Amino acid sequence: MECWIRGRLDLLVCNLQLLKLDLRADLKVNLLYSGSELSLGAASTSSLQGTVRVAPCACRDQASCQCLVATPGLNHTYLLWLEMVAGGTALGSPLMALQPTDIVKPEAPVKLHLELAEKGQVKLCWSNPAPLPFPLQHQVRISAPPGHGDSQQMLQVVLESSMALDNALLDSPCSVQVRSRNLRGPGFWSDWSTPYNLTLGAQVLYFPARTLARAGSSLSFLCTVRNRSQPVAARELVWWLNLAEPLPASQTSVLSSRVSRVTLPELRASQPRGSFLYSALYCCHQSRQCHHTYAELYVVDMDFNISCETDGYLTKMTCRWSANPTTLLLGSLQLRYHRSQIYCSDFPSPSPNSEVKECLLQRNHSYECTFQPIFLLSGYTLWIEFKHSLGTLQSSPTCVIPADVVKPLPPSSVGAEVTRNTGLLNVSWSQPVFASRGLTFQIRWKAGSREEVPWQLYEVPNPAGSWAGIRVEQLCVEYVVQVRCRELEGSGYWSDWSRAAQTLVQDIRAPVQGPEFWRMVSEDPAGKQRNVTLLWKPLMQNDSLCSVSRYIIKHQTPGNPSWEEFVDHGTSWTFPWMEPTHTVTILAMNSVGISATNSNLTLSQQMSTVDAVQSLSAYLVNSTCVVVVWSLSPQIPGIKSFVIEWRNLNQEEQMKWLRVPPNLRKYFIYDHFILVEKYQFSLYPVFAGGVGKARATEQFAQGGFETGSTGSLHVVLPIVFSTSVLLLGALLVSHQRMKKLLWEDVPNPKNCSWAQGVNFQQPETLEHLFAKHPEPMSCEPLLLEAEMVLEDISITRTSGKEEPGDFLGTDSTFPTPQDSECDSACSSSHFQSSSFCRSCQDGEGAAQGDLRYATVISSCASSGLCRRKTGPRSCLGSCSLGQHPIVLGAFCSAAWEVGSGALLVLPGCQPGRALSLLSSEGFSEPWHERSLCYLGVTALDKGHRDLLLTDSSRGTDLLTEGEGLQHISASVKEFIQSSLKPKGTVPYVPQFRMAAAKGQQATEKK
Amino acid sequence: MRCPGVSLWALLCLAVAVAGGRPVRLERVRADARALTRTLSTRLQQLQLFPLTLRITGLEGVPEGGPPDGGVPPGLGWAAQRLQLFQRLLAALPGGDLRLAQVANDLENLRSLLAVLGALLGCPAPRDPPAAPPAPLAEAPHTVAGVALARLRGCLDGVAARLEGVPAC
Repeated sequence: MECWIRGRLDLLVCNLQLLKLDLRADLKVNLLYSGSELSLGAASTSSLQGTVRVAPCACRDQASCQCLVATPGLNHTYLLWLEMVAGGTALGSPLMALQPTDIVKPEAPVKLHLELAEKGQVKLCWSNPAPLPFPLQHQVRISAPPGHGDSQQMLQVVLESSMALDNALLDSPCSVQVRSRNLRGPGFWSDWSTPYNLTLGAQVLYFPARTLARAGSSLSFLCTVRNRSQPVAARELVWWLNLAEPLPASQTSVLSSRVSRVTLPELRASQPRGSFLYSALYCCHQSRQCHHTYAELYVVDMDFNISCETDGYLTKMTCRWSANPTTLLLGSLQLRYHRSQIYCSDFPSPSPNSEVKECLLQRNHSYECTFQPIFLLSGYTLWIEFKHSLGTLQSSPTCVIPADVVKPLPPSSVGAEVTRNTGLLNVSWSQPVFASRGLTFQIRWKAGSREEVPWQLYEVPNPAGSWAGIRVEQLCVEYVVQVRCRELEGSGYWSDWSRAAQTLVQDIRAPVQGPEFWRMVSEDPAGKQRNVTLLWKPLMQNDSLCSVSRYIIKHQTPGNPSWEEFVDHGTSWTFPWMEPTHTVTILAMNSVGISATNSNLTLSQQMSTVDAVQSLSAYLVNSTCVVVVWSLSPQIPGIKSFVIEWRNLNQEEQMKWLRVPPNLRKYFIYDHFILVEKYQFSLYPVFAGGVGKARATEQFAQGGFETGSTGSLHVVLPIVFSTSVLLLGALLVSHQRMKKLLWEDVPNPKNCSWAQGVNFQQPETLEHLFAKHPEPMSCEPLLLEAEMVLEDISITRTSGKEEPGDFLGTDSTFPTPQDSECDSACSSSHFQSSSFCRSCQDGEGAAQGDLRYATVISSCASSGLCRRKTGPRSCLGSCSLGQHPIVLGAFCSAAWEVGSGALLVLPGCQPGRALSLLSSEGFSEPWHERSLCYLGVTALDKGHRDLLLTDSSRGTDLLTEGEGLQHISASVKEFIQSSLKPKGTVPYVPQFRMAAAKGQQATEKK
Repeated sequence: MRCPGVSLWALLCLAVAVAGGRPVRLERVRADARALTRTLSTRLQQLQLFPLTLRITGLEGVPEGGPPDGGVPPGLGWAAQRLQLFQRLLAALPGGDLRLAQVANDLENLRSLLAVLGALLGCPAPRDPPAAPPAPLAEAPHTVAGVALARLRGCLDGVAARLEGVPAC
């Protein structure tokens, strides 16, 4: 009989081996047992007095049976025996005693694998499937495969569940098995584990295979690689991070011939990549071939900022810290602390006697931990502990003394007022309770309670008491004031702002002076009573800090005691004027006192006849300013001041007035003046004895006035005037010059048949000449205005000088003066095209279409144009007249109809080149007799400003000659004849047209 | 406070050790002690259960707060002993009032400060105070608490006065 405890310690197994195999078939075997807590030596049959249990045994055959006892107590002592029943007869075996702990047979080791150790050696590791209450010893059996000999090597390993293997063994095709048994006591060896083939082990081994590190630290990894059982030299290994980032060779070193090492300095916290929370480190062959296994690196950011704050009652300290969300994914965090008796050490460190503080998760992954009650002057050393399956990390500890991080209660009983006389914003407060240390204070204040008004901050100088005075600019507004405090020492916090205190607007001082005032006298003709209405202006704020509660009108008449009247509201007061002389003084009063400086006014009938003002003039400067100028009669001294009155006579507007010092003789009145309205201005001299006779004016004076040193009119007006004169002169001169130039070059009507009957002396005729062509143009932009023509045209005599380049409308030889005899139009009006073309070439107005002009050139032989008239592709051949495009096409392949009386001609049929405009409109003579051509030139646009009209070099003449017309068909001739007929009284004049766009369009059509 | 039997000087040594050998300035300790005394006094003022206008008998177990009549003006040693007595008494008071717990913590801090101060001044180590007669905590906790707080406040006034100048041992 053999009994043992199964490795999971859950079953006592007893195997029976029967010696006699001829026993009966109805044999039944039971195992009877009883457990006691006595030791094995102390157990006796007396312990059988307890419960005896029966475990039936299963006999598989006649030779063996197995009995199982469930959940045996390891610390018990079992007494057991066998009972066999056969044929109604029971047989019992002798008693046996056993202790389960002595007969444990562990489970066979599992998970055999190879690992790389810290120093680069390879270890065979295994694990036991079930934990046991005692340490184990292990045996390792290394077996060579068949054909490699039968040698077996047994190695004893104590406690360790691993064994180092040398390289020779690793390279051999051996298999390994492990078994275990109790190290310290009797027991059974376990079964052998399943064989582990070393050559089929892991191809790549890392050390550490998985590790946890804190950000900022450095870490080294080792690896060894085998390629199909062949080791790979360490120098051939390279490292990759996340299969994406090769690690530099400078971080790689060779630990041994087979082990490569890489060092990762300044580790950065792992960032989750998908569901992977670690960095994968690969050890690859330098041929960029990697095995799929990798080392896992978990880097945790352990930089925590723990900030603590003690409340104003000094009973609670709240510490806050934030965690990186990634860190929370990797593991769990907790705050640990250790409290010292008093104060902090210079170098706080985690203590083994630490405690865990429960913290509440707040928003944004922040935690809040509260200590209450607290030890105000103890040092709390705090740190964060991170727990992970791979280990535990701790943040750097920080030590906090609660008394140093106090956020006091805000000051109480805050009051604010603007002090009288000094005008300071005086703020007072009471120190908060539990303010045992010195405090510093800040005051913030603003005028008014509107939120958009920014606060202004005032630092109360230390040592601070319980009040402060702030100099403010505005004394008569409400101020809102708040106070907060902070401990002078330590790293405490500002308290919250106190409850807001508001100042009351109160009078700071008595009004500085009484108001300025004036009077209006009205007479009642029926009652013969004169009423005086006093008008005064409200005091400015600076003169009445902060208010005027009432005005006091003090009357004084000769021979009578003075009396007073009070006006609480309004700025006017009417009283009857009874006495010949009546002196009035107006005083301003507030809660502080009465104005000390006051003006008075004496009403005197006698003085009202004194005519001191000799003249008065008002000049309108602009709608907001009028200058009043006056002169005084000589030898009338004693004027204290002047009063100017003005009113709009057309509107029911109240009279306005102002007081002027006596030394002035002019005054600028700024008001809103309507230019078309009528105003009355009056000037009163004010004497000590009364008001003199006024002088008034109801109209604005014309002309200049002396403004003295003030104002800019004396500068501006002359400039404006002189500029106007100069401008006018320039206009006149230019007009005369233009007229002269124009009339010099305009064809002499006596010589021009087309100009017969036209009166060029009449301006309208001239306008008509330069007016738009009455017929629509087929090009855009359309005609230039006449004045534009005038501006651009330079009418000069033909110089015969050849214009350079792609000159518009240029024939190299314009008619000479002697040629002008040929035709009146030609002879007297040589509109040289150079100026026009120059304007085109210069690009001016090119974008608007261009100037198009016409000129008439004689057909005399001296003309260059005419000299080429007989060319096969001469003007005759290339010109045709409008409205007959078919004919045109027959004669010229480069001519398009532009409009009635005008043709676009493309010399040389070159697309994109110049377009010519021909017209004979207005000619009375047959053109073939007079050899007249009407030439127009234009440019297309900026890009085509090299327009050509007739380019002799290309042998294309635009000018027609009678000879040329011989090639024209009769129908064309008829058309030409009809076209050349004068139309009404419109003479031929140079035609200025723009056909740039259309010209190009025509070119495109071609 | 939880182990009032532990020698205050042991705590002092611990405090000095915790301070990492850093020289603790006398002025700072004295200022902290003054501030903590004021804080405690304010707390007691707010905690005052009833005004002590009556003379209450039968409370010999509650230590007196003032200096002994006609005796030597109390020094740091006397204050430390007296505070320890109050600390024991408050620890024995029933209930889990946070405010009382805070007072107890403050008392412990104040005792530590006085101990450091005494060490800096070269004072001899104070002896543990003799056991006070038992106070009727079970039968009159309210009375004991009120009287104890009032007397403690008186004691603190004396400590504060002593801390204004150079404290005597």
